[in-house]
Amino acid sequence: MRPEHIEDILVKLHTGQWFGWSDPKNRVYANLIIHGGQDKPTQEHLESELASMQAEYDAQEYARNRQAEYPSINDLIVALWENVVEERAASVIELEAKRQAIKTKYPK
Amino acid sequence: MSYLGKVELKSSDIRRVDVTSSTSATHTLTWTPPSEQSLIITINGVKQQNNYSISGVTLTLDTALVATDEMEVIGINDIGTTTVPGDGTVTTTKIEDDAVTADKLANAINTSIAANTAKVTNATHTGDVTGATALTIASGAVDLAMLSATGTADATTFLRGDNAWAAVAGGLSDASQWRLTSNFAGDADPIASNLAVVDSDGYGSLGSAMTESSGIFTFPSTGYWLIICQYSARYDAVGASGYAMLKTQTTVNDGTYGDAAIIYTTFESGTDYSSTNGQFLFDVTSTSTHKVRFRVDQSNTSNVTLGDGSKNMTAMTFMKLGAT
Repeated sequence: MRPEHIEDILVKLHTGQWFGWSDPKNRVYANLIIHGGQDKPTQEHLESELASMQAEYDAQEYARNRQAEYPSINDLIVALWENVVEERAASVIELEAKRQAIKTKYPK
Repeated sequence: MSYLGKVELKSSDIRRVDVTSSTSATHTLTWTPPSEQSLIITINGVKQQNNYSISGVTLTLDTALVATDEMEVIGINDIGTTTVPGDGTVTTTKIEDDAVTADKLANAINTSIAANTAKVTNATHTGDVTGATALTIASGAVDLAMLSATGTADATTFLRGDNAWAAVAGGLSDASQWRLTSNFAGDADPIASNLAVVDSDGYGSLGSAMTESSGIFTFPSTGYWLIICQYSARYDAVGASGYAMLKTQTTVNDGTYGDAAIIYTTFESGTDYSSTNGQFLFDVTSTSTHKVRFRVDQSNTSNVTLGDGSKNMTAMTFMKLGAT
């Protein structure tokens, strides 16, 4: 899930119900309230962390795309078994071609 | 002389006075003769006529007696006097029908009669009862205060056929819904903040709502309460499975809480969302000792319990099914 809100950062700072919103329908920094003894993070920190996490998430888009189209683990195991045990490399070669095509389609 | 009837009611009687050895012209009678004609006077047996006079009880002869004279005076006492009935002796049957006129009644009685007659025939009445002749109850005039029914009339009671205000047996009387308004990661024992009554998308409660303080919910009245939980969570750990659970915890002594219901939700791996729900039927026999709270336990501190101020992600519904 791509982080879209500073609440996605807040839940990673501390566990438990240490924060809330004075107006739950308008969850902006100005309405952020701290329940416990935690320090209130600055808006700049939260927004910076959010931008960083979004960049990190976006940077992994190629990986998520590749993951979605890669052959299944089951297909890989069968191909490896055929190649190693049965000395038939056709499936391995075919799957490797598919993997390389996907990598080309979704470069880093 | 003997009498018939009551002596007290006689109108007259016969008196007599004998005079001897008198040389006087004046004599005192034992009664007051009403007139000279009421007397029969004889002297030595000879009736007297026009030779005496009376004044009060005094009889005066024109000529004084001599000592040897014997005078006898006989008279009727109280001739012509009105017979006065004794106090409290006139009965209803003694009065002729239609004989008592208004003049014979006390003025106060006549005044009262006149006033009452005016009320029926002339006065115009206003207020709840209106009219100048036939009186009617005005539309919308009869309110609850005019009813004699027992019990308390309020928004939760109805008037029964036995004239008693009573709550309707069975059926939902109270229902309300709360939601978690913010996300949090990890555990919450109990969920103690960010709880609010649902207030969006046409929400409505029925009857009295629950109250909440630091995550402890108090019921507005005793009864059988159905508690329904909706739980939503997100799994943020990478590469492993996990679970989250929501516990409905109740107490019957306002102190010790037990796990009344536990609902689990599981995650396969990576970022994953999951929801589940559960119920518990709570017999609340006392609103001061029977309470409920909710607790979250996570397999991983990166698990996030989902809450939102605009929609139900994690929410609790409380419905009173009936009296305990």
